[in-house]
Amino acid sequence: MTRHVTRALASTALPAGLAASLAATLLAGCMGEVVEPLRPGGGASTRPLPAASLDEADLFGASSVRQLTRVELRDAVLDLYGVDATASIQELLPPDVHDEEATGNPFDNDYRLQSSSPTLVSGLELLADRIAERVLADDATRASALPCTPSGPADATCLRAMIQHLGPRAVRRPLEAAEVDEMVDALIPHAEEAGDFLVAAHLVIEVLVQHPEFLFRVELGAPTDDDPDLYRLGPHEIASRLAFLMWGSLPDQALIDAASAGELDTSAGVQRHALRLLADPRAERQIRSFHAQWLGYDEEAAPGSLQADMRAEADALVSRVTLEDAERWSELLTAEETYVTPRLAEHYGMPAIAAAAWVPSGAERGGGLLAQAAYLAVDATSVDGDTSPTFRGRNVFRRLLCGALPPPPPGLNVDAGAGNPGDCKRVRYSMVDEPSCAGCHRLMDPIGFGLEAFDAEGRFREVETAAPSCAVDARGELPGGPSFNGPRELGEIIASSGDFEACAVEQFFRFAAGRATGPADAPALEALERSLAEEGDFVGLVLAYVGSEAFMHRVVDPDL
Amino acid sequence: MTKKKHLSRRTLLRGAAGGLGAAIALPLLDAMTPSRAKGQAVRRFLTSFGGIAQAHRQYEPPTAIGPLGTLPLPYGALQDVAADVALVSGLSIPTANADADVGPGGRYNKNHIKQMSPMFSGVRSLNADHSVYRGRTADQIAADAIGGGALFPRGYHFLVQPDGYQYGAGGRNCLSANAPGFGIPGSTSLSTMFNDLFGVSAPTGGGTPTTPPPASGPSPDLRRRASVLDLVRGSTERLAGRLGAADRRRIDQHLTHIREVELRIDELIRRASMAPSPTPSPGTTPAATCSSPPTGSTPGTSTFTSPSGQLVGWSYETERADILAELAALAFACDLTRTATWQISWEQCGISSRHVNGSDESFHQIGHQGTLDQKVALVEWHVAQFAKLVRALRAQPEGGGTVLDNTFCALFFGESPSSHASRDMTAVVAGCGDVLRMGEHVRDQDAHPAQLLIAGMQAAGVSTNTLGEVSGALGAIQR
Repeated sequence: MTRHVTRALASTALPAGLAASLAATLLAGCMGEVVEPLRPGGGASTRPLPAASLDEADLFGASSVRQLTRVELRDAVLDLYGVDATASIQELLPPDVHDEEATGNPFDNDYRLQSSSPTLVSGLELLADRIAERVLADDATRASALPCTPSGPADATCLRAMIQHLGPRAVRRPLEAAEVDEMVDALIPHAEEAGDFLVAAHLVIEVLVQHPEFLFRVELGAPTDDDPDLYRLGPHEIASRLAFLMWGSLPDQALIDAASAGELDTSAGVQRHALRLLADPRAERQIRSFHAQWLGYDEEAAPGSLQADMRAEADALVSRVTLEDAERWSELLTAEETYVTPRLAEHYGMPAIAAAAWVPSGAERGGGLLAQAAYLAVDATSVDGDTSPTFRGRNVFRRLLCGALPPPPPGLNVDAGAGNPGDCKRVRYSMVDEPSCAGCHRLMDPIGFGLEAFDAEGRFREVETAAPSCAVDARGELPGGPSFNGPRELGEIIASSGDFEACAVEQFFRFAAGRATGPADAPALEALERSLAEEGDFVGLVLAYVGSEAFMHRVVDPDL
Repeated sequence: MTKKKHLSRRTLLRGAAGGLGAAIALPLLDAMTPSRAKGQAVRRFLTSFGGIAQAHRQYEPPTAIGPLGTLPLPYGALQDVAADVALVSGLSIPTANADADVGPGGRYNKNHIKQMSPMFSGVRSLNADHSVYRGRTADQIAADAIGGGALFPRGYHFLVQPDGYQYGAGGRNCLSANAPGFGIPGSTSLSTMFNDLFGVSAPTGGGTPTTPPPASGPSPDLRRRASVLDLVRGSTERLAGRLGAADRRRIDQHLTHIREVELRIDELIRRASMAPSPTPSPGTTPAATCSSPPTGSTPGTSTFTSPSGQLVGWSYETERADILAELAALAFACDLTRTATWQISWEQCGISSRHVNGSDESFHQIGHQGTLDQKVALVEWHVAQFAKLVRALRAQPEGGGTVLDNTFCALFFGESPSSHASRDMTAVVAGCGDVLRMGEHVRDQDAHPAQLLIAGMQAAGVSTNTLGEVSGALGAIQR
């Protein structure tokens, strides 16, 4: 069965290694009764897909206005004003909406789930006030925001300069003269009344923080001749798209200048600037954030905690594979070295070290991220306090293999622990043998068992935590047959089968496009996967993505 | 008139938000003069929710049908307000295992969330539809009829639990919906609530005004807010005008909310421009009370991993409820809003039980694993928070009675005593005792929760006999 057919069969990128079992599942239905697509909204077509090209302008499909996530807003405020508004944003703004269960999309930036609310607008008003106050209260940030020394409370020229200094970066386009005039005219009287220029400066920042083109990523573009729903983005829109993808934040002045100078009108120009952005620490922050959200270890860790050390281990591997060594992306699952602090080394039972360092993973712990505590702790624990092979298997199946699971059957108490807590895991997790449960549990539990040699904090173990009389049995099996023992073998199978590339590309596309994928995205995923196969490494994929014709276009979202 | 203090109220609130625990002292605000001095009685509508199951059946029914005597656990916290509350038992939402079988006002049989739509909007939930609400909720329908004239004509939404901890948002933080979808998120931040409800702060920009603010009339801060929002609205309107239909719908939604804030500020300016009444009308909340909202603050949020591996948290919800009860009562008394939601906890509640029953598990996990006593303690805790609200409403005078007399309040729980089910649930109701049977336990076997809300809407002066797909008021609660 070809990869194309496999993908078409399950409607979007399904891993090749799973083809047989998933085809069987499609026929049998996960509940043993219903034939339904494995993906929300998907269809079980067997039509081979035409080879798609990144040169097709409409390849990336639908896009729409995107509201900055809380993290993007934090970083944009940091980049523009130099203040860290994390605490205020968390306190004042509604949380981003995730719905992985429904959409398969693990990321926080799905624009189809975003909506405005009175809570958002009220929170922004207060947030804007706080940011303005902090910017102006500090000499350095005030000097950075205010490029002139006001001659008096009503210095309209200086206020105009401030708006021209901050505004274009905030809204990611040049400001029109009328917009600047309107702000100056509206705000100077308040400074005059107060006898304090900074009152107007404060209000400028308040306006810019609440400005719709700061808060939302807006792309208009110009109509194209061929398709009424296809628009060619303008240079500043391309700059914004590029900066938010690469940095999760605003374009810098150099990128704005490049857009103005026409340097982003060609793929080569966009790629050149993408490379420049990649060299900035903000790109590393963004790449780490993408991987953490993808694989589920993005929970904030308290500074100085063991959890922070665990996160640092994962981040270090991500940076090494994607940026430093530009290795094959799948090295994430096969790396034989890991970056540990002395405390984490002790936690793992490794030989003591004096300072954080890359060390050999050791006999038990190969498999890159799969053997790291940050990943092994993700949603690992059942209500009984021990690791759940079902949960761990579900994570691998959904997030690393991009498999989709139907919802649990009606009325099933998914919060209940499995079996009798005193029994060994293999006895307790017997759902794979029950006809009404097996359809889904066969796709999850056997994978999770292969990670059983590690507890919920990533420590190696030989007996089960909750039932010490039971020796750990870490034989695992992927749907479709390949069996394995432990994260090293699991990583090797996923990395060598092509399954990793198929899913990683889909996760990247979800993140970049800010939405869940559907059947219509199959050509884009196909093209990106081919591109990754050619390039091998993450940066190569990113450059192919941003250098494509599709990156410079938008398509109206028919689902909105 | 009390002399205006030139304090930065926002600065004080920031102290609260920063976890300093300092008491908030709010300056007196002329803008908060109650418009009810006209003497006309208004009616109000509030829904409340606890995202947990209702403990064990042995505590149901909570007491004999008829007058409330000594209330058993977990309703004991209502004892001192028993004359002003009622227990309504026997409520059920019909449940089905397939979308095709879900009837009007019914619920697809899935663990969580799926009861929200039928409970508060009267519209059935489906497995295939992942949005939380499939219809408009009762508070929004009530707002259409009775909300006009208040500062928040579409209501205000209080969240006692400010964070989901283990489980994210996606409707769990929404008790109100004006259209199908995830709903309107409640306000989490005390700072936002104070700012929304009680107005403005003193000088911005770190500077000190060279001329003192006028003794009366709108403060400079209020007019500055108006200028900023006017510019933001203008930008948003211009943007919307350049967008295609699909994108425009999303920006228009944002624009609507900006306009709402603008209208509110206009109204605040209008009220501030009117000379405050030197003496309050008899039977109304004194202007000074509306000008001096309650003080208080809570430190921030702390989270930890429970023994079962869940992320649990504590944001001083018990203390937040003290403040939010006072805020809601004043919001009603000062006619800032006439409809509200007062959500105590979220579905699959991640609040740490440590401060309630000594366990380190979340409320949700206690619901599954806890002892009966632990489960009952959680219900008791929710009832105790609701009782604070009832007391606060009862403490506000109005027309010879209290604000509570003119306010319908209903507390629902997420699930039945048997977990994940929606059968035989008990709601706590308060207020509108002139038309509803307060001081009693009434039972209407298999009545729909939406029918109780229809009775509540009618009590609040809304002319309707339907909510979503559900018809007919719950008669047992009506006089």
